[in-house]
Amino acid sequence: MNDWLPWLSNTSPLPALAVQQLFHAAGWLALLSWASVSFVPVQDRRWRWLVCTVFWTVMMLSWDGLLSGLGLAFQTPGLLTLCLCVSAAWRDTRSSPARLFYTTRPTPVNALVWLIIAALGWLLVTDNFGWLPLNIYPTGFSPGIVWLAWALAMLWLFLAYWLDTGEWHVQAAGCWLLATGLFVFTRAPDGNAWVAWLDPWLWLFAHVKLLRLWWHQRSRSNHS
Amino acid sequence: MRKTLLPASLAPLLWLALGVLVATGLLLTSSPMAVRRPAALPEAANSLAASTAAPTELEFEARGSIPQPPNAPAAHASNLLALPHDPEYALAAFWFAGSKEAALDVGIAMSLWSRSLNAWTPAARVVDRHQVGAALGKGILRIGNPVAWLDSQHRLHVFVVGTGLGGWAASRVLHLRQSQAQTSMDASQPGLEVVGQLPLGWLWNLSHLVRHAPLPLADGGMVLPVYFELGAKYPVFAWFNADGKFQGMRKFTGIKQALQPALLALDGDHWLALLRSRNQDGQIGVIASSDGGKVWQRQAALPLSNDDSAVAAMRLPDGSFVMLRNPSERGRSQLLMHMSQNGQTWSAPQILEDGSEGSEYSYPAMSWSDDRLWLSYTSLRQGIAWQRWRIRASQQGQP
Repeated sequence: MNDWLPWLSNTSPLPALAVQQLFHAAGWLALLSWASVSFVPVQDRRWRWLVCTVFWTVMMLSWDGLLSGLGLAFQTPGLLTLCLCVSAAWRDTRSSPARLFYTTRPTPVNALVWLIIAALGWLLVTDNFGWLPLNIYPTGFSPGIVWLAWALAMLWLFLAYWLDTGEWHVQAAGCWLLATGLFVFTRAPDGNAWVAWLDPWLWLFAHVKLLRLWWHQRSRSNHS
Repeated sequence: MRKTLLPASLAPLLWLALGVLVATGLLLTSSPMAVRRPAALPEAANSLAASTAAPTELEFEARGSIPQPPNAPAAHASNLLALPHDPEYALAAFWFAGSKEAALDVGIAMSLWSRSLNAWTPAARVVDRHQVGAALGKGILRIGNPVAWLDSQHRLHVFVVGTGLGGWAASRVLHLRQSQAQTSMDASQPGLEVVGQLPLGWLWNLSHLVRHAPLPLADGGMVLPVYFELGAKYPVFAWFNADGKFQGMRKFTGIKQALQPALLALDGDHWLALLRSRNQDGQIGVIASSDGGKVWQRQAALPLSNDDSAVAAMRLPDGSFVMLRNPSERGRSQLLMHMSQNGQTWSAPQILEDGSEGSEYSYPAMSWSDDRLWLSYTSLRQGIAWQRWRIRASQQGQP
C-alpha cells in the first residue's frame, strides 16, 4: 500500500499529474542549464550556472510554449539525466577556479560505463520498434528490475570506495542510486523505470562520449 | 582547494543510508502487476463456445445519425459506451469532430442516447487539445480516436490519441477521467479531467494509439487494446485496476503490419484479438492467448478479407460473437456484420451499409445496452451513423 506516499497514486505505478509537471519543469531546467553553461562568456563556472539557471527559469516562467513544446517533441528528461546535470552543477560550484577546466582522464572503465548505456539504449530502441521477441520496456513497471538496479548501484558504490577508483565512479553510481531513489518515491517522470534511468538524450550523449573517447585514444596512439 | 561540507569518511555512510532508504521505499511501494480473469462472460459462455447450438440471429430495429457538434463538417472514429447504471441515458457515443481529420480544431464530441426522448442528445465537445495540453504541461498537436470505459465507481474514463511533433505515428495515448461519478451523465459536460499519458514506449513514448473498447476483467478492471504504428505495427495491451489506474502492459511483436486489436474473451484464459491487417494477404489477423493475456501467439488469419480497415468485435451476453468489417473487395464502401459461436468460424455476412464506390462506412464500434446491440460507424467522413439490432424473438429465452 502506498497510503503513506499520497503523491503516488495507490496501487498504480504512475505518478500524479502534479509530480509529472514538477519533474517536467525540473528536468528541462537542469538539462537546458547544463547544455548552455559552456556558452556563457564568464570565466567562473559558478556564475555560469547561476546565469544559465536564472535565464532558463525566467524563460520557462515567461513563455509557456517552451516547456510545452519540449514536452510535445521529447517528453520529460529522465531522473538519471536530472541527477547527472545537478551533479555537474554541484561539482562545478564546489570547485575552485583552478580546477574548473580539469578534465577527468578517460579510463577503460569509464568507457565501459558509456558503452553499457549505449548498448542498453539500443536494446530499448529495438524493443520499442518490435524488432525483438522480448518485452523489455514493460519490465520497467516491475519492482524486480528496480531491486536489481538498486543492488547494482550499491555494488558499484562499494567497489568504487573499496578499490578507490576515484570520484567519477562515486558520482556516477551515486547519481544512479539517487535517481533510483527518486523513482521509488515519486515514480517520475512517467512510471517506467527504464525512462527514469535512461532517456533517449542520455543514450545519444553516451554515443558522443564514446566517440570522444575513441578519438582521444586514437590521437594518443598516433602521437606515441 | 576543495570546500567540503562533510568529512570524507562520512560520505560512504551517507551513500549507505541512501541505499537503505531506497530499499525501504521499494519494500513499501512494490505492487507487481496482476492479470486476472475477464468478467465479460456469462457462466454458460464456456460451454456455449464448444456447443453446436444454433447461431444467434440478430434482426434490425432502428438506425439514424448521431447529431454533429456545430461547425464540424468532418467526423470519424466513434466509440460506444453502455451506461447500465444511468437512469436517463442508455448509451454514450464519443468520436472526433472538426473541420477535417487531424486538423488543429478537432475535438472529442459526445452524445447520449436518451431513453425518455428515444433520441440522441445534441453533441457536445468534451475534450480539445488545448485543454489536455494545458493540464499535461506538454503540447498536443491533434487529438482523435476516443475510447470510453466506466470503472467500478461508475466514473467515466476516456482514452484519446494525442499527437506529438508529427502525424498519427507520433501519437501518445492520453487518459482522462471524471473527477467523480454522476448519478446521471451530464449531456453537455461530463466533467473530465486529465490523468496523464499512458507510458507505453521508451523512445519519447512515441507512436501508440488506441481504437477499440476495453475487455472488462473479473476484478472490475480492464484491458485496453492499444497498438504501435511507427514502422512495424503491433498490438499492445494495457491493464487497469477497478479504479481505472494503470497497472502495466504487455505487447506482442510476433506479428507485423497488424494494428487496432479488438479483444474477445472465449473464456477466462483463452482470449483472441482480431487485427486490422496491412499484410499482403489482406485478411483479418488473429493472435491468441491461453493464459489471460500474458503471452500471445500468432494464429492463422481469418478467411475474411480486410484491407487496412478497422475491425470491431464483441461478445454478446448470450455468449455469441459479433464482428464488423469492411471487405477488401469493396473497400470501405461496404460494411458487413458476421456472427460466430466460437470466435473462430464466422457466419456469412449481413450487409449493414452498401455505398457507391469511393464512399466510406468505416471504423465500426459496438456496445450492448437495454438488451440491444448498438452499432456506430463513420458515415462518409461527415458524421456518425448508428444502428440498433436485437436478438431474433424466436431465439430469446434459449440457453
